[in-house]
Amino acid sequence: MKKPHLVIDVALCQGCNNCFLACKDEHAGNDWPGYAKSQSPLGERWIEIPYRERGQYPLIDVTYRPTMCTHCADAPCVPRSDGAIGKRADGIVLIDPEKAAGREELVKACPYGMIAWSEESGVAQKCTLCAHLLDSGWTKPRCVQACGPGALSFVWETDHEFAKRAAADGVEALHPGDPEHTAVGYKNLTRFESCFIAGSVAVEHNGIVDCASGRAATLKHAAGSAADGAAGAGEETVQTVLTDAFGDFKFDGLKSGSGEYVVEVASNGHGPARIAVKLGESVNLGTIMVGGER
Amino acid sequence: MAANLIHKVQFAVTTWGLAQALRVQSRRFPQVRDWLAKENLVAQVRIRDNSQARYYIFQDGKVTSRRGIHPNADVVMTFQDASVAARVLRPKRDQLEFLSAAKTFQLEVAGTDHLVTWFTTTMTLMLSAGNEYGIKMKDGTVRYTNNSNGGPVFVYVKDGKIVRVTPIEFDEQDAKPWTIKARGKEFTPPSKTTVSPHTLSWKSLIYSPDRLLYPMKRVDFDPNGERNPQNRGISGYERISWDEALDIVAAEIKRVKRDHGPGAIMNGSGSHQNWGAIGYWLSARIRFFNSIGWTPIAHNPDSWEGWYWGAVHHWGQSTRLGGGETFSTVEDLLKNAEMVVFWSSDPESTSGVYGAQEGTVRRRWLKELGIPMVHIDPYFNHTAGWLGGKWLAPKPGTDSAMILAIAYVWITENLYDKKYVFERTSGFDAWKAYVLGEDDGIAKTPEWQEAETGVPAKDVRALAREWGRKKTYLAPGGYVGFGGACRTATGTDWARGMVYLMAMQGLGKPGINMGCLQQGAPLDTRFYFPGYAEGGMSGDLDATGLSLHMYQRMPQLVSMNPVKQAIPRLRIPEAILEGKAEAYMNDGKTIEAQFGKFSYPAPGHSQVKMYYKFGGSHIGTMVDTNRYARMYSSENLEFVVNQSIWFEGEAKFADVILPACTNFERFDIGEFANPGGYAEHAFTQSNHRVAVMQHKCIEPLGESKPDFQIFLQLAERLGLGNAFSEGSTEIEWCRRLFEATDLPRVISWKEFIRKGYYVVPPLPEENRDPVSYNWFAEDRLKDVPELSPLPGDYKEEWKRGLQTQTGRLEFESSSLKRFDPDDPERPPIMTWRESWEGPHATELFEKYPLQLITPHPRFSFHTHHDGKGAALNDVTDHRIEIDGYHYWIARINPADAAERGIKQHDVIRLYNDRGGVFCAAVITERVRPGLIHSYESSAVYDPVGVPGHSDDRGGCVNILTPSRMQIEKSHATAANSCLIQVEKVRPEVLRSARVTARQSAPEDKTVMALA
Repeated sequence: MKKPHLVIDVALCQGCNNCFLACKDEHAGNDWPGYAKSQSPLGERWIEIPYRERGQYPLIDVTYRPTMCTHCADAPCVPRSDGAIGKRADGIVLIDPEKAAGREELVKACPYGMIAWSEESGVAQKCTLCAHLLDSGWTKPRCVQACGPGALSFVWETDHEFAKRAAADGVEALHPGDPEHTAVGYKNLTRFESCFIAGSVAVEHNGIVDCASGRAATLKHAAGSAADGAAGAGEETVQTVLTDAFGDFKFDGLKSGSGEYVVEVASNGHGPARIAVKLGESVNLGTIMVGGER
Repeated sequence: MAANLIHKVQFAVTTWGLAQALRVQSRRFPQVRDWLAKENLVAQVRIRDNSQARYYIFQDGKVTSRRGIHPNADVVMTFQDASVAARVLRPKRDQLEFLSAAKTFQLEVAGTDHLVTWFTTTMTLMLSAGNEYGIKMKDGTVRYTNNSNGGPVFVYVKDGKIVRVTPIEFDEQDAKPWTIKARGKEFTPPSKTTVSPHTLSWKSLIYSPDRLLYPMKRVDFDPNGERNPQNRGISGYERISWDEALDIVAAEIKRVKRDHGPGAIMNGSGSHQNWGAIGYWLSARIRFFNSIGWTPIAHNPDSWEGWYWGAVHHWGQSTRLGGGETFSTVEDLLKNAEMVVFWSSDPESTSGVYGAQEGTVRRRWLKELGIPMVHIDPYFNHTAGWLGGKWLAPKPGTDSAMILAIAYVWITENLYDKKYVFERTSGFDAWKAYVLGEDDGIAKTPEWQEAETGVPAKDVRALAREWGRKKTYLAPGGYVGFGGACRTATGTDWARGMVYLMAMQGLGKPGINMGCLQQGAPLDTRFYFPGYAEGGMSGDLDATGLSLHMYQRMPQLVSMNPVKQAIPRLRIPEAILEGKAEAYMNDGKTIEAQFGKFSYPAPGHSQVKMYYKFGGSHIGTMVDTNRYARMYSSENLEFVVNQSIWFEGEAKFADVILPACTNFERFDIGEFANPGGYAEHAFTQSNHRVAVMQHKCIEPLGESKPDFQIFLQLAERLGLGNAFSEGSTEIEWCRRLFEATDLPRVISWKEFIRKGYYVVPPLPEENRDPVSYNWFAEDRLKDVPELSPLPGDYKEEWKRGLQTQTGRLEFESSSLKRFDPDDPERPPIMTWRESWEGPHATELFEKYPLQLITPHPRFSFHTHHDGKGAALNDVTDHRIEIDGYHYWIARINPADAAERGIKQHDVIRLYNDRGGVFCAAVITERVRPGLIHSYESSAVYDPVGVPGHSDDRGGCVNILTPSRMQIEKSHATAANSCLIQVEKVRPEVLRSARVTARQSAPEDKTVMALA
């Protein structure tokens, strides 16, 4: 059967909150019998948009990751719910609003914190993927309809079709389980999860400092670093990039706390500039002066 | 048969037919039935010499009529002769005939004003009766349409309650979108409208606990006794009836005019309101106030400032208040540009203006094409964050130094278009000499600018070199002609400089132009639908675009204000407290109009004694706004009435509050993102032109009323009811506006109000508008479809050259040379000036070492949608809940936070000599060191002590901003040149602060307490 899938491209989200506000508009003040009761006007959040800021002024980037119930492949909340939560054949995990009434402990049934307690309705509830709308002929939930940047998209596909899409587009599940059995999948999650090492390269000529563009900058694991698990091995190149028009470089996709690195920047006619970095979180190394023409 | 005999027969038949038609309509349509049941009266229609006459008896909803004269008619409608009657009394009357007859006294109506209005309205009721509107959905809801400041919407209603508000998804019958082919790719926008975040909070705003549901009176205000002005903003309110409220207001209008003379009534509104051309502040409001005579609050061009007071002198564009043309720039940019520089530009936050998220998909294409981008802004804004690119963060108010350094690199490295500068500009040599330091000995090098901007010289040199080598689009502001940099002490210099840089690179050549894909979509700009600034039903030919853009299409009574006095908005408190104020004119008709200074009071006029405020925004939107709170306690204001939807901001300072309803509770009509007037063709921000019938989706909540109705009922108490409404209901006014547009050629009124919207098809690719300024670059006659400048403002022949005296882009401004060549603040060429409030203000800077910028907000639309218990309170990037209170956010660099012991989400106090404001701290690398970023426009003003004299917990950071004019000869805010200090608020201070439980309007309570 064709199942509904919400795909969230983290690289396209700008944190505008349209998804969050559309969710409130649809669910606050409206009961949808069999699906959910009215969301509290304030404070009951079915969508969270965690924010990640990487680097230091002025080399930074920012990422938002809309996060709601992912309707997990093997939803851990179901067995913990005493029959109040079930996964439908189409993959949507629903909390029965009648059975969940008064049961605040169900909030803890989700290990990812995606079940909310409704002060307004006295029931544990969460994202329904707007199943009340999908069941009545809508092709997508409110959050997807409201998304202007195109970060949220919606497809109806069989498990096989979606597995192929996931492999081709790099769609991942946020929590354990296959993406094709999870209603909410993510693209470009690495933007949210990884770290970078960035810096600016400059040269001085006749007392004038200029950005050094087109310079090769190389990231290496430091010799003897435990990062690659090969203790005692020599320096190993991880990435090489060219600096841009402003002399900036950025090594992306690194793991936070992944150990000791060396950044090398080619320096015309001189030995390369070398900076040792012990990576915690993303870091802007600042301006690195090298020799030679700009 | 002689003509007069025909007219006599027509009179007889038509007057007889009126009663018949009303009876038929009354049987068919409940709204006609309800209307007729409202009044019992006798209405007489007659020829002046009584040669023909018929009267109508309306009794308990029944209509009977007889020939002849009734001895005691309540309403008497008199025609000069039968031919006038024949022209006016047609079943579908010609409004122009009606107005012409009335203005020449060929038609007169006498009687109690309310009944007169009722009767004239009854005569046109049939035109709109029986029209069905809205689409019935399968689930039992009815889907209506409406419009907002952030896009048009579907509104689903069930059992009289709004279920949901969504963007509009087009159907198969709607026009298909355009496609742009660029660099081997095809780009087509989706067949739907987008919405801004605030638009999705509309339902929560309509049902807000802060809705004003009843008229109210301050408990210690007695119009016939003690008025207690000193308690404004302190005392609570009690519910009163509409009759009592309107009687008080009408009596005060009469009293102040009688006791004080012309000018005693001041009115002002926010710059934006509920969307719609009829109920708008530039429409019904102006018509009403013109009809009673008023002192208007003159708006400064507050989103434009530096453009209007600066750039206009170098490239004209006065009708756009100094902003630029943007025709077809979307296609040109995607096809030809090699770089985009966003300078003080954050369209992803500000949506241009009214543009929802329409430009977003187009900027996504920019990203897909891999076109390099640079973002110049002290704050790492959301456009920068989303699109990526190089971020340069000058200190606020220093942008002009960076401009000079870029020009320095271009001049010294031959990176500008010398031929263009020679052929299409004037006065370059004077500026060039200044840039090179030939006159003042200071070469404006990148190193020189580094000391001012804090941006490394190397980065500015790299930018200048890239820019000089690549075809570049410059986006100054999120909409060409806005941007926070234009609201600094050096805003005029920045805006001038933006024009200069384009003049050096060849403005109008392919790929070299202005904008960031926010405007200039390839739509049919020739299809006529007026923007709100065209004035709707205002009848005002002076203060709206009516005279230029609509009068011949929508006949209506002209309304003129007999009071020749105005008060500059930025000086309202001084006008009230000190009795005087002055500023320069904001009038876009010509470049020179702004050189006119106006003073309050105007000679021979009364000082203001009554303030009729429309909405509650100023404390959150103006500058140094404790002044506005303090003003209200003045005895000089004998009476304050506020007509508002919500109990917020200044509404809490009124003596009487009149509750208005939202545009979801009344009829109106308007187009997506089309303000018209000073933002001509702004609808090219949208991917589709969408004309919207704004349905009355639900009944007005409580006893709230449409603004139109409030004004009408006041007008009736002043004998002006018929003149105000012209006998048209609101929906009839909508129909009249519809008839004025090009819509009747493509869709019937019946179908338009049923479906609720019409998508104007885009023009075929070969018919698209030419690219802006291409005509100028190639020295051809102007070929883009706009009326400005005025024909008389071209210098040699119509459409030849710009509005400037030379017709060229002027580095050295002719108009400034004529006006005041020695003005140190605005010399004829743009130069470097230090901000009067900034790092160079040494003493102040020592005390207040942080620079505060207060850009237009990301989530709310100015004060709209903020506070009021509505959904945006829950957006954690808008307000942060700490101990049950939703605090406004102030963003601070980690180093500045650490220095002050401030941690994430601490409650902090922003302060300077003007006041203090509590905010929630957000610590972020997005702000450069030394900067505090906090949006303007908190709707919540919540003083912890005496209003105007104590800290505000609501988040009105505008309290801290300077009221000094950007330059003396202006009416311009420099809100973004503001020095403050920040400290952590100790918990005991928070505890001792007067805890105001969020003040909500009473649903069943009759008294609202302020404290």
